Amino acid sequence: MTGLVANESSGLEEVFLANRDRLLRFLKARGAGDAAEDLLQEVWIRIAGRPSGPVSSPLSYLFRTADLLMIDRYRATVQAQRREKAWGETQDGTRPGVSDEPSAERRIIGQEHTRLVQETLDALGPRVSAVFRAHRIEEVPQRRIAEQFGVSLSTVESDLRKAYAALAELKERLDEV
Amino acid sequence: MANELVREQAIAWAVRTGDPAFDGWEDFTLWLEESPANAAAYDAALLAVAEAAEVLPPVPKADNDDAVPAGGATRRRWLGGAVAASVAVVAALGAWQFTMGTYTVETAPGETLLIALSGGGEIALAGNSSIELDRRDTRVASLQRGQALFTIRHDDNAPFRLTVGDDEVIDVGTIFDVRRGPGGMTVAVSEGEVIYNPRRENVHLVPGQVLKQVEGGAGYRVATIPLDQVGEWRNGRVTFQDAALGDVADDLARATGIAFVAGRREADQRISGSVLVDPVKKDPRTVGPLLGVTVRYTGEAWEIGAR
Repeated sequence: MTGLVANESSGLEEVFLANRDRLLRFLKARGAGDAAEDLLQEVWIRIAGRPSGPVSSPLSYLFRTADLLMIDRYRATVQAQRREKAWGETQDGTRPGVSDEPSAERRIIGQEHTRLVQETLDALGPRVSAVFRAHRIEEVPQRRIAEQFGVSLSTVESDLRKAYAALAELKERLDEV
Repeated sequence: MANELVREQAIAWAVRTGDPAFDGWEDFTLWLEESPANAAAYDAALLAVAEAAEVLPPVPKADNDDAVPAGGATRRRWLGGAVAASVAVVAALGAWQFTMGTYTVETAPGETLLIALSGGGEIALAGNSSIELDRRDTRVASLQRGQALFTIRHDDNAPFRLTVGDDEVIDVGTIFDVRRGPGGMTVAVSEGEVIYNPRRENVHLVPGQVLKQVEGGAGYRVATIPLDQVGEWRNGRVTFQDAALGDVADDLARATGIAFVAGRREADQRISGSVLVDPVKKDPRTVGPLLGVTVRYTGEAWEIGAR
């Protein structure tokens, strides 16, 4: 990690160094494989570039940073696969071009996607749908949602699990198309 | 079914880790270590939810199908503040949108896509760009966001019409590059001829000319541009000629997929310079010396400023 200048004041660097092994173990378990060391370095770069400021729970922050890094990585992989597929589709067929109907119609995305997501959430009932939107769109922490809706935290979690499960199922269905 | 159980557990973890108050990372690690399938199921659940959340309108309102937000980056602020920056700008959909006769092709920042037009011609779409095409009429297109290089077959009877917001560009068989950015629209011509707003300003542009709208929609100016710079982003290079920092940041973000922004008070400062995209992808700081700007990581994005 030479050559990287850390921020003095946040204290994250100390926590990072003290918990290096735990973070590495997490990254490996999270599916990083041989890239775990590199990704740990990436975590370091991200926290070193962070503006100084208080972090209420530095270790959680570091785990979360590592977790998001893995999500981004997974996402990039999936996207590359999609791109390859889309590219392959434009290259297929007798008439070259996007106007080949199957390639356009096989993917139901955009406004259609929005509609399907909304229908999926609405089908779960008004509270589940509202809890999901509050948490994922308006970024309200789960405890505050529980207070706002006058339900227990475990009810909020249960609502979110329902929404997540339905959306995962929707995605599977869309990917099969 | 074992898979079903894994999926349920993964979803439960995704719900828990998704909250800013979550602190059970040790237990989460132990669960992940039980099987590689666990991490895979967790990734799949998170991506499904992230993609769904990103296509929902920002204001919770049903029946509003024209408010598809452009990207997911801002959604993730509390998910980790600093963290969301670089890779997270990946927009969800590098693929086709489809409604009625028209459909939209979108790219994520850092990716490019070549669209072959039936009947000849092609459109190269730059990163973080969106263009609407019509299945029934391949001689019309609408650039909604970003930049594209058009290579259009000449047809006297059916000129190619491109709309960019309220403006229109008619081509007369040509290669031209159009960019729609925060500072307005730019059209640069490499071959043939293009007419800008034929029913209003009616400006004819020839190869080596570039038309730039003046900020705030108050007219335009025409300058010259070296031919090899028209559409050069396709070869992994971006060049700026007396360009506003706001546009520079926008172009850099589009080309690299990395979040660049201009300093708030400096978005109108102008610079010139040229950079290769790949080295910037590896280290965003390299734009500093190359363009003569300051580069600072804000925790959300790389902020460039006048030196």
